[in-house]
Amino acid sequence: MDDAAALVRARGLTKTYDGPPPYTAVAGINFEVRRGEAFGFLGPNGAGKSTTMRMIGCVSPRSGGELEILGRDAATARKAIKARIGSVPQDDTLDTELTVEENILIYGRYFGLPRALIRERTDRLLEFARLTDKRASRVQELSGGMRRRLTIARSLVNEPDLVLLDEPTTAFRALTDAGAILLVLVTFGAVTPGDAPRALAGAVLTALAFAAPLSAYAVTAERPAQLTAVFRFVIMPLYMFSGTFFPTGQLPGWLQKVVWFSPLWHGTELCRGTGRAAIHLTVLLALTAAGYLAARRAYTRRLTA
Amino acid sequence: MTAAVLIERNLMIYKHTWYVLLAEIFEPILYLLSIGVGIGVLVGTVTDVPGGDPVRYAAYVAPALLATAAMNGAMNETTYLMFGKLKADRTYESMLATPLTERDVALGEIGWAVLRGTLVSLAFLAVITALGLVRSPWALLVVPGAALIAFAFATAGVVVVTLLRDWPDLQYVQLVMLPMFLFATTFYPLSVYPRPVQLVVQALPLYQAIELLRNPALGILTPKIAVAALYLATMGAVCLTIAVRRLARTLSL
Repeated sequence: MDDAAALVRARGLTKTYDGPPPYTAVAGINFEVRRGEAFGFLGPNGAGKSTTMRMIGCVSPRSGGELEILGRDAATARKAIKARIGSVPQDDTLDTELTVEENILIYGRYFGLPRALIRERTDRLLEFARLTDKRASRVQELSGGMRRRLTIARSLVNEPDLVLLDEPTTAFRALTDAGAILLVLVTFGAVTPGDAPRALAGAVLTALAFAAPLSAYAVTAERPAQLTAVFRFVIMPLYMFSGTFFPTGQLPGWLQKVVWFSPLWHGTELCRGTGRAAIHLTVLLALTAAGYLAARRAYTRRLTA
Repeated sequence: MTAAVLIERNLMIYKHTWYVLLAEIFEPILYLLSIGVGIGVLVGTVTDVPGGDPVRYAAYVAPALLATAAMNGAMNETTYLMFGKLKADRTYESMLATPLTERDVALGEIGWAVLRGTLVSLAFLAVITALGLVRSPWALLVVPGAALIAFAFATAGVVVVTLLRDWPDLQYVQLVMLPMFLFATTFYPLSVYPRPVQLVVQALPLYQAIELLRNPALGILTPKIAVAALYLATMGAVCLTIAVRRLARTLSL
């Protein structure tokens, strides 16, 4: 096979980052991948494997050297090259809120393919990935292996000439710090020093009374949007009407009775130092305990499933 | 318009989670009931309406809440949700592996934020009309107004999202948005402030957004509407230019 048939041709391919600190991720490499060939990059972490893949995928521009893919320059024919490539990234980037079928559909749409054509290809791709019976399932319900297979199936929707596979190594983890928020609340609360300990206790108890049942719900919830909905439909109304902004006495009688079930109202009363502290305390503690038990059950079930 | 496929994707996702959009109009309604009606009982009538007749407190607050809803909806979409897609879900990574460009991503997400803002404003307008808080037919101007607000804040949001390093940085966004919501004449007229503070408040984009909606909603036709529209259009255009350039850099590293 001659040079013209090379799918990928790199000469002195370089990638440098300005930093700070500036560093060279790929330092002048040469390689050639021909049609029908399975070509692999091996190397330790940080060797520049992913960077090279990203340059081939026309996602990251090269800093120097030559890079030709499917006979065209990677810098100038980006869109045309990307249309002929199938890419399986290091981490699964599936749309977890969509179904298996929808994931393939929208991905095909990114290539500008007509819906009818995508649907036609979907059957074959699902069969190939052994996901036909999971077609209407949401990605969240899939096992890790199934997700991986779907990612690969999805990458073939444009019937590519070149498939790029990047290994899975990392997982992103979001960190939250509830403690900081609590500190801000206490700092900005217009509370006299003498009242501070009781207000702090009220705030901590309120936080606990909410945190326990909410975390139980969070483990069982299937979509992030459900949590947003709980916030808007449950937490916000509680926030608005639990005597936060105006006395509950201003509410109609039946609503005043409903407010009695609002943990936030009990917390607010505790923090303000109004009402009967013993009752509010008992209600909040009971809620916390019930929430804790529910959370423990939810976690156990989730982890052993 | 290849960018339109992003709107297609969002519609597909919200088909499953439509209640999130419902929740978005629920929030200003809650504020309206709690503060507009609840505190409104204590306040009574707002007499200090420049260029207009005294109005019920709820009618005074409603357009400001709508402006805030359009702002929050757009900002939420292009900061919080977009940061999630950028860092956690890596949605854009998979998009950029296809013929879609960084520019398509920016334009598509902004387009969706504007569409969403317009839908939410239509729904909220229907609610406040049903509550009898709208008197003038000029209130219809509120819909394109809300779209403009969504555009200005959505583009600003994309600029912000390219500056965020990690999740805790989103707190800085809250640090700006919440005080702006509380102090940009949402709940009381500008006249309560001393002159120097008034100048600061008038420079806030949310103040201009509120002027853009409150005046027509109360049937007051004033040049202030044009000034506000110009302010927000300029803000949106400038942010759009920066947003497209910065997002391209963030995504292609």
